[in-house]
Amino acid sequence: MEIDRIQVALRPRSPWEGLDLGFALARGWFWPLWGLWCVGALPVALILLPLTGFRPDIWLLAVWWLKPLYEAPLLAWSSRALFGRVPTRVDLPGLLRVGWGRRILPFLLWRRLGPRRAFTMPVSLLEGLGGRDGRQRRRLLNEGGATPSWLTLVSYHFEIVLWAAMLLGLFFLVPSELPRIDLQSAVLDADTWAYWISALAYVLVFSCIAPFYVCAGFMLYLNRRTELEAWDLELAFRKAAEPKPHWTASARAAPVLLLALVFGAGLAPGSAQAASTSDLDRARQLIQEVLEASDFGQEREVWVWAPIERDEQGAEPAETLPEWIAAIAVRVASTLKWGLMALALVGLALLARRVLRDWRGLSRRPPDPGPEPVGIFESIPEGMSLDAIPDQVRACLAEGDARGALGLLYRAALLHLIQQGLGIPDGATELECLALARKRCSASELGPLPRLVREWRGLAYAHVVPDPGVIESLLTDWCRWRESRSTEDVAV
Amino acid sequence: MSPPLDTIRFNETPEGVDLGLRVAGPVPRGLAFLLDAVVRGALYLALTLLMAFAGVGLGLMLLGFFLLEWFYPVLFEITKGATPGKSAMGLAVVHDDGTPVGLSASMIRNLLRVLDFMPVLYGVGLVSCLVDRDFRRLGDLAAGTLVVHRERRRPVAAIPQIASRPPPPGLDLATQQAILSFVERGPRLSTARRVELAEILTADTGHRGPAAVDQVTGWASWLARGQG
Repeated sequence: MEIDRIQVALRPRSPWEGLDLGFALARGWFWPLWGLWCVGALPVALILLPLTGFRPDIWLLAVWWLKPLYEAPLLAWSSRALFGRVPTRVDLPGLLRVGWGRRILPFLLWRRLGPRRAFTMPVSLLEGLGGRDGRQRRRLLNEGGATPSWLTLVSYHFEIVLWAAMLLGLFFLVPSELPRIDLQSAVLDADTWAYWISALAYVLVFSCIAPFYVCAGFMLYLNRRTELEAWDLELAFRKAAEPKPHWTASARAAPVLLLALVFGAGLAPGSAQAASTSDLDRARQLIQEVLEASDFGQEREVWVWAPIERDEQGAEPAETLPEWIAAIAVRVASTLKWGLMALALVGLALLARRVLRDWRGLSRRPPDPGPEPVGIFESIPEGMSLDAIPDQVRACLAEGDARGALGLLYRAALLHLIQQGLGIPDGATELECLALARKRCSASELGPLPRLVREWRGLAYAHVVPDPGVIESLLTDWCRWRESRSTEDVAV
Repeated sequence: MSPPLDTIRFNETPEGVDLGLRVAGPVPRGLAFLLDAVVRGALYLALTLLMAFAGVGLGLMLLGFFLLEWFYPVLFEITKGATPGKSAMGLAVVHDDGTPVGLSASMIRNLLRVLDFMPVLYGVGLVSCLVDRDFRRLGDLAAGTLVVHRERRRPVAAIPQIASRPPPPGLDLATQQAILSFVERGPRLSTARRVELAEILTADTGHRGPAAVDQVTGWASWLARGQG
């Protein structure tokens, strides 16, 4: 066995993948394998015909029972093709001898119904092991899982599916004028011609499944052996141990060549010329070799459908319209076209005007600043001094205008603070004013201000109208506060 | 010589990485289908029982049948990448460039089941599966999908603690991997076979017998752990 010549990639695989590899192999080898199957099966089937008294059911059973007989040469064929020696017609007797030796007998008798038939066949036929050795070997190989049994089971079902598909296909496709296949008798009644058709269809189907079944079993066997004996490692180690390819050797020779070139140049220019051209050729050849290596890409053949000749005339001319309709259509279309162009021009002009205006800043207006904040001084009616405030407040109260009264009082308090020298910026909120005042004055100096602010905020924002009495007391406090502050100032 | 046959389809990514997809053949797929048929059959039965005894109307039952029939595979394929049967068999559905299957591809491949089912029990699909290079049925061909073997998570095999020895210079990547793999798979090989394999590599150095195995194990230790 020359493991270097093996045609499949060796790597550790799961049994399922090994099985798939077998199916892939059988697809590639289908026609020779199928031919070989027919070579084995046809004579047997013909001999069986008179032996079974031309009864299709017994005949089918007999042909089916002898399946290992036709599968064995397939196994022998694949075992040779796998290692690169595809058998030819000349090898046929050899294949049959391997397949139909005495080791096939158990497979036709007690091992015929064993579910691992395809998997254990290589042990008997290819390794030639029988008796105790064979049993031991099979036990070792069988420890690899139940996949071989599944293969047999599933293959049977594939056969049945394909057979039923074929029969039904025939049934559907035969025209109704012709004699129809009676499906019931095709399956059950052995005395009808329909049963013969069904039996032949079944034989055809298992001839088609046989290559797949044999190859899959063989690959399962091989996979198990690869697992047990690490064939992939053997192959890798052998490759590593073998001498390096030749172009490395020529590369090693390059310095010598160069040396020769230098000396040659010193001696005779003419010969140097010759040497350098031959060196160039050598280099070109080397480059070509390197470029042809698979690392630099590969060539692929791609098949596509292309039109054989191009349609010269192009599309067929459209149906001709009456001339006057055509004239009207042309007129309408051209009017439409000019209209659209005019519209586009107008649009363009409008756009240009707009852009120009924007560009010059004509349309730029300063942003609306909003209402000017009202200064505190303006907020108090003109000509009214702080002295007049209490009267004014009382007047408001008398009118029932609590809002006006409290607002006036608040503004007056702020005005008072400003007069005392507190800077209050425009737009300061009530709390900001209070905070500013707190920063400047002590708690006792603030007087009614915190209370006033609280009441005012309650009224202004929450619409909680205080009692007139509260406003009255605030007013009193305010008057006292103002007077005290004024006297302090005087004192200072 | 043509490249050795394998069931791996390589897809080169723009980064120059070869992604290998291990396409799955008709036998594991058939078994996965059988498992799914069992699951689906149980669901059909449950629906029928609901209709018969729990007062769920015929219309709802038929709607349920419709959804089960057409969307059972789609739902599982786009959420989990495989139907329960396929997961049990270690299979997954992917686009043929290796990306997870999307809604449209999954819909197409499952709607075309009708065609693959012809004339009975996936006869057409089986033939297509046997004939196609990547075991695709017609639905897979139309949707551009593949059914692949999932990558199994294998426990990391330990490399025995042994004094590292420098390997010979110029070992290429494949050989280095083979040396590591040799040591990892060592316990599953017979002793005689290990010696036989190791002697191929150590023929130059003159180590024979168990010494050859030790030598290669030392190299593996060097490759895996360095000098220490």
